[in-house]
Amino acid sequence: MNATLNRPRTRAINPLQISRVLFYLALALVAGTAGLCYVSLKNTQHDLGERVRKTEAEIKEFRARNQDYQSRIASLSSRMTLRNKLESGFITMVQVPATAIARLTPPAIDNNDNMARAVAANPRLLP
Amino acid sequence: MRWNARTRIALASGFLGLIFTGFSARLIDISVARHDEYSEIAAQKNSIRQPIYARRGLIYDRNGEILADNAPIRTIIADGSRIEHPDRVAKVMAPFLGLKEDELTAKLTTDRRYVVIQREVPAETAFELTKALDAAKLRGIYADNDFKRVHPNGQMLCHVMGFLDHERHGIQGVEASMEDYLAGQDGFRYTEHDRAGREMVVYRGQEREPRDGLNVTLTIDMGLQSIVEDELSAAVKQLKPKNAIAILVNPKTGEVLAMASWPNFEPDKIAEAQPEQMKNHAVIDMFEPGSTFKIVASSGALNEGVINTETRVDCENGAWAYGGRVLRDTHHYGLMNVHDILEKSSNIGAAKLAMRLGDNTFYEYAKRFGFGERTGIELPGEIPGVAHPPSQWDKVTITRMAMGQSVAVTPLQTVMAMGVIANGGKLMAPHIIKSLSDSDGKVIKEFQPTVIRQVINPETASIVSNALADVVSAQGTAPQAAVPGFRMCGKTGTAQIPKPGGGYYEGKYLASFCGYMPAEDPAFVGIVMIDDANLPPHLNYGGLVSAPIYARIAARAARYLDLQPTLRAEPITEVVSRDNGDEDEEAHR
Repeated sequence: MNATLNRPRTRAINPLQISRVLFYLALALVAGTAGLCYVSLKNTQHDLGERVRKTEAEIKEFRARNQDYQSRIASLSSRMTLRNKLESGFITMVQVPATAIARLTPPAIDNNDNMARAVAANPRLLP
Repeated sequence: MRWNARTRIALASGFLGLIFTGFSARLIDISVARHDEYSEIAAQKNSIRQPIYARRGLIYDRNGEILADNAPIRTIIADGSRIEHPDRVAKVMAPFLGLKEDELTAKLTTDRRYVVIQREVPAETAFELTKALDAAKLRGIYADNDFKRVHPNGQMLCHVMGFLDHERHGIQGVEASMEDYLAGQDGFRYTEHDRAGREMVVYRGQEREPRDGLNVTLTIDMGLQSIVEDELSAAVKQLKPKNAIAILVNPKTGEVLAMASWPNFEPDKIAEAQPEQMKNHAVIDMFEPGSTFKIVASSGALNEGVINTETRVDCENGAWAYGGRVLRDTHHYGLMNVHDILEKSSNIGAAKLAMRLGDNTFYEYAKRFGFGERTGIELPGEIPGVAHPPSQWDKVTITRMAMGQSVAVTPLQTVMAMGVIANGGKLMAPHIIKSLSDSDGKVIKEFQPTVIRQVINPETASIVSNALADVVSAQGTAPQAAVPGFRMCGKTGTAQIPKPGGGYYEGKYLASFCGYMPAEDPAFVGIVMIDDANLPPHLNYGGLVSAPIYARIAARAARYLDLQPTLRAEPITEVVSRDNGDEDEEAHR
């Protein structure tokens, strides 16, 4: 018989090499997963960065406000403001009577001249 | 060539290979060969060096009262390259900034990347503006952090505090002298922005944290400063002088407790101040001191042993011809000891004491008391005054200098010299900075009292102090400086005001009083100087003009410092003093 006649009528199909297909599929999956992870991490990083930026802006704002309020408090409680309030009658000064003052360091009396000496004067230098 | 499949494949592959090689070459060119050039372009477009401003240190008085504070403000900036709808942006911004919409639109229609729209915008307003722009999804407007120096006490202590220039650098007062400590160091950060102008935090690069400025605590006590300024202000209203100066110093430590100079200015409205108002006359102006300088000749003569307390000097009955000139006392004094010379403020007596010392020794004592050299106080622009050496003197210079002429001193030098008598003979270095601390309040540096030199021995100081105590008595030249219950010491001075070309102005006087209290253990030494008070000449004397102001300051300061009276208070008798003289004379009625 002629050899040509013995050939199968359908063309020979290459058999699927499952292991290779699986290998490339796994490779693609790993690469894809890695890519997605990278993108996800990058997004997370940007998201965190954005939160950091906003938090920093808030902190800066709070600090500025705090400083502003401190400045206003200093101004409103300053000697000048209190004096103006006193002059305008908004506040008044009440004299503390001498009987209400307790002196922790009563003035010493010098035995020689019966004078009150406030502090430790150097007797050598006294005239 | 056979045009078969193999050839076609080879040609296609070669063509594709060529294309990819071209792309690769371009890629390498861009990313490697011209990396720096493109990096720079990218950096210019998106990357910026963001400054992080350091906080300027605050200034406190010795009790922790805030004297100079920072109020946060914002500078509104526009980046024209990022603004797409200037008209819409202007519409949102206009009400916040109080600007007209069309003017704002014109400002915003630009390609410039940094346009200052408005300065000194309150932080609160800027915050609301940013929120409104975000809500309207408009971009290209930023609020730069800035601060404004504010002085809660207004004009009080203005010359000591000084002020800042438009770049926030101190240019006068403590703000200038302590600039290196107060300013701190700005930080920076390299960062990138996205298309909307928002910072991309992940691309932050090099960064340096700012170092905040140190807080400065002064030796000034605002309680005393307030008293001094009150009294000086009242005196200025009454006397209308050209200048007025008052200083209080702790004689034992050299700490300046109060320092006031008039005219003054509002440090928060510096643009409205005139140059004359900004001068701190306490350290940058010099005057002929008048009779307050007599302590130099008296102390020197006693300290050198050329006289003792009993030595009598002939005061020539009020007129002494010497060197072709006649030196006069208004009162006809005869023989007087050093105590009387100081108490009566005799010009002839002081001149003769100086002559006993000799030119060189007298000059040396003037220098030892600190005249003719800067005190070194931490205030800018201090002048040394003028004390010419004996080689430049003529025959009568020593007689003039002994009574405070032919010499020019600053008020601070005078008060420090009086401090020598008050503290037992030591010249202290005046200082106005007490300590430096960081923003957490931790003290970084504390300034200690410094003794410059022992000028005279304590015994001499005691003798002179005794005489100065009698100056503030009914027999002395300054009974109006007395404070009931306290033994006061001091010396009046009435100096003619020299003309720039030589000679003296007619009828213009510098009236001063320099003293300390309590005599037994001085808590402060002070000076009051009134330059050219609007008074007739017969009333324009230290004992009449400055002594009462000093007494009012001293009485209030004693109450403030809770000084216990050392004498029994006596009924106040009306005593009027007259301090006159050829150059300086005293009389009583």
